[in-house]
Amino acid sequence: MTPVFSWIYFLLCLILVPPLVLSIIGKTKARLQNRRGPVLLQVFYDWSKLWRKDQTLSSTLSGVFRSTAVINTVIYLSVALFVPWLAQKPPIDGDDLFLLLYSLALARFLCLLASMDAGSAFGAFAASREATLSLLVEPAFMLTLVALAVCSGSTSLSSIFAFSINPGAGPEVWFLGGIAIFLCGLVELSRMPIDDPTTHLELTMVHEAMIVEASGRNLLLLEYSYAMKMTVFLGLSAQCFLHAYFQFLPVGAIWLCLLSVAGIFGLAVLVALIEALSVKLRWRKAPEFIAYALTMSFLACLVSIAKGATFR
Amino acid sequence: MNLGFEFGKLNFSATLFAIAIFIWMIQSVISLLCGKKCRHDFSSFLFALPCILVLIAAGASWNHPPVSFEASTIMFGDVHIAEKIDSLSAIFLSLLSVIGIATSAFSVSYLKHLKGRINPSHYWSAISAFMLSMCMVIVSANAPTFLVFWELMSLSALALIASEHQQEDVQKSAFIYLIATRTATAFLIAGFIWMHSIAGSWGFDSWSFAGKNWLPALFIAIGLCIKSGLWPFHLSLPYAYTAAPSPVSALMSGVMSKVAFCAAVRFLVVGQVDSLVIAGVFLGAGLISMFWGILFSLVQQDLKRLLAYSSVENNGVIFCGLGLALVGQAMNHPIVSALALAASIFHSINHGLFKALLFLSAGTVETAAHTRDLGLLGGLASRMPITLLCFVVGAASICALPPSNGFASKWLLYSSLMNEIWCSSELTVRGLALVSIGILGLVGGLSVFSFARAIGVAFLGNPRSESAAKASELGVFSWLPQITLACLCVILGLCASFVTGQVELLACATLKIPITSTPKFQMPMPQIAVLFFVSAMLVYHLILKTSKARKYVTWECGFGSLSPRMQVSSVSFAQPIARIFSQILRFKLLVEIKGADRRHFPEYVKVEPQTASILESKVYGPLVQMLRTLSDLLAKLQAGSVHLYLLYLCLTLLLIVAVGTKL
Repeated sequence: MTPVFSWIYFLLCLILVPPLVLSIIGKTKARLQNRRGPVLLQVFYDWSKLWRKDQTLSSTLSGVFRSTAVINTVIYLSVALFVPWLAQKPPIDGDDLFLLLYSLALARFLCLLASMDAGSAFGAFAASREATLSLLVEPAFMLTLVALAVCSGSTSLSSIFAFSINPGAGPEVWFLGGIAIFLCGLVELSRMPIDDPTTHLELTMVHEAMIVEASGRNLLLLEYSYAMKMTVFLGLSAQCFLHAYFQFLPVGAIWLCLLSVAGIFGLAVLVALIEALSVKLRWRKAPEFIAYALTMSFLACLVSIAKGATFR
Repeated sequence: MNLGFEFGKLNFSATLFAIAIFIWMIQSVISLLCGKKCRHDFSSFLFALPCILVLIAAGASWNHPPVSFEASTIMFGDVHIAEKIDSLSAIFLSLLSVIGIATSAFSVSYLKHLKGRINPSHYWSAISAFMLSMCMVIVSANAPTFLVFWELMSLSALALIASEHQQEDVQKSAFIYLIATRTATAFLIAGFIWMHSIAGSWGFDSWSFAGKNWLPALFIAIGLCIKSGLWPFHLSLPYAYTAAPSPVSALMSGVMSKVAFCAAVRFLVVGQVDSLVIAGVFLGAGLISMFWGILFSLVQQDLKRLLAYSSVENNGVIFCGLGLALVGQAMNHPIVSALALAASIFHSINHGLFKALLFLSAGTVETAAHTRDLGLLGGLASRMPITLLCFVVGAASICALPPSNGFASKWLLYSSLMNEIWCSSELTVRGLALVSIGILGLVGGLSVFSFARAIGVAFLGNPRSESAAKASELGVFSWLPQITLACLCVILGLCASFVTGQVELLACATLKIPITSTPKFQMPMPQIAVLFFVSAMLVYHLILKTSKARKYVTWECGFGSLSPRMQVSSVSFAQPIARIFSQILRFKLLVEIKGADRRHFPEYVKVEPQTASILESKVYGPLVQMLRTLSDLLAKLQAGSVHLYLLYLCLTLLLIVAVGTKL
């Protein structure tokens, strides 16, 4: 692929995929519930409405709240720039897996602070839940990426997800890794069965209650960074499945590009399917669900240390 | 006073060092003589001056051949005072002097606000003795020098902890700290005497712990673990750091525990320990204490106690790195040991900086709001923005969030674990390394939780008490040291690729391995940070700034105004985690409901969460009880009756005669 084409492809995906993922989830869910659902471009309409609206800020808020939306947007944008969530080398170097994990932690840290800034009970309780979930998920996500890194002999994400013909990791590691990252994504993005994003009871929500004080363009930035985060998570998971597939049936670069976008949309449909078919778990059952993600990552680790070669 | 230093023969850095020690010595005596007339600004200057000298001395001896000097006039047999300044001690000396300068400035504002509670002459005298002894411990080159100044360090720290000795909890804390240091010194002395009998010399250079000599090394290792507060000996830390004045907590946590680490590197790594037992002790104790420490920091109500438990966590990280370096040494993986040693040295420097910063910020909060209780704080953000900013920077660094220095050192540790996996072909070693990575990840998540809770409850929202509502910044002497330390944290993080390169060189030199191509920290942090800053500014000015904003109340479902009591409390914020780890935290919700027959409208509801330390209640409590019973039994022997004592004398005489005739 020529560099020009790959840049065009990347920018198109960066702009179009995040809102489309949200739209596809909404549309699929509506169809499964026998509703017609919003049009595919609904997210764009919502966002343009948020763009035009004024903000309402609580008088208790400090600078922490106002800077959080900005910093989070920049963090998730740069994560999208240095993580290989499309089947090509990301545009920015410095794609270490620990940098990814700790950048996500930085975004979360600020989000937690912002939701406690207004002095309302809703935001703070949601922050407490969010922090609990994400800290339980952190080892699973980290170990999955580490298992893949052990196989490929590097902690750089672009050399882990490199589509080499003779990679260290077998298809089973990629498959387990894909499932683990998907499950971690469900928890990190507070989707069902951990959290119901469509409920209207602030006391039970996680992500939605954290941003309850945000409005107007502030909310737009938070929504955008959420969509970006979702795309990166689904993208990484899709890449894992694609790598597993690639080992059986190597395909060309163009096909990989198409397949990775299709994979992200396919996983979005899966998210919607889970949301339509399952119920929200009780809060105390959430650690048990996370245990599935942890088990998958442990299995991936076991296979990787048993089969992964020693390098030096 | 003749110390036997012959200035003509000393080189530049040794001369500066000797002058600094001399100034501290004089200050220690003079402050004590001054009594109530002791002036803070003058004492602070006198205290900071030697710090600057030590900093210059350390800079001059960095990457230079070691400088040894002896005070030969103070000599008993083969025991004399011997010192050596090399690159390893230079790096810790510079940490000591930077934190020393920051605390000297901070002490002025802190002590002015605590007028009458702390005796200034006592404080300045003890703190200069403390600095002097820490300096000497770092550079000591033989066991007697080490022990003398180690003891001076422990006892002057004790004097500082007991600054407010009128309070009962301070007395208890000082006592617990005293027990811990006594035990640590006992282990160290045992190990030293053993090594002396093996090597025939007190000099550290002639000691080798290789092969069969791992048993004395174990004694020394345990002594150092106790001193730096690793699990299960961590209990003295939360007591001592909470009771001590904040600048002293900063020094103790930032420097004193690093002195123990420096000693561990000097004895065990330089002494070529190749036993997996020692490595396992450090690695295991390190892993457990990082998890244990951060878990307990998460449920603390007292801001300084929270920081103390997080010190346990970070000391765990540091000693985990040290253990990994020893594993690498034992299994002959030079890359792993170089990376792990560099990680632990760098993390100990970083932890010194950001923990000192956090303790200074906590001290500011304490003096401004007159409380450290998270349940009474809140809403400080608008009136103390500088302290908030510094605390956030410190917290971000301690949670290893990029681009702080904490991220760089954690990355080195992760990288050394990854290399251990790649180097080793044994399944158990690879598995253990993976488990360690998982634990580090979990600990990272827990520390984000813990510090978000601390900042959210203490600084954000609405004030929970009158005194918190009236709090304000204390003045230039309180915020300047904080800003300096915060800037250092960020600068070290941004220059991480250069600094880690230097620290890796030091680690290779310390391990006496030829400089191989160790993996470097290659992320272009300055470029990332600049790009980040520019784009954040762009987003802010183009998107947020241009939209209109209306001030209104916080969303409360339309039920009327929020009261501060309706905010999340520090206890309820930590409750989900406390429930998950309730076995370790011994977390219980004590619920009392009166009139429960009225179902939805009971007359009286009381819910009280309870956490307890499992070690304190299940291990140390019974141990102390047993000691007490035993000493009660022994006390019965001392009945105060002359007749009984005559009987003892008779019996002893008979025993001696019996033993004598047998022999």
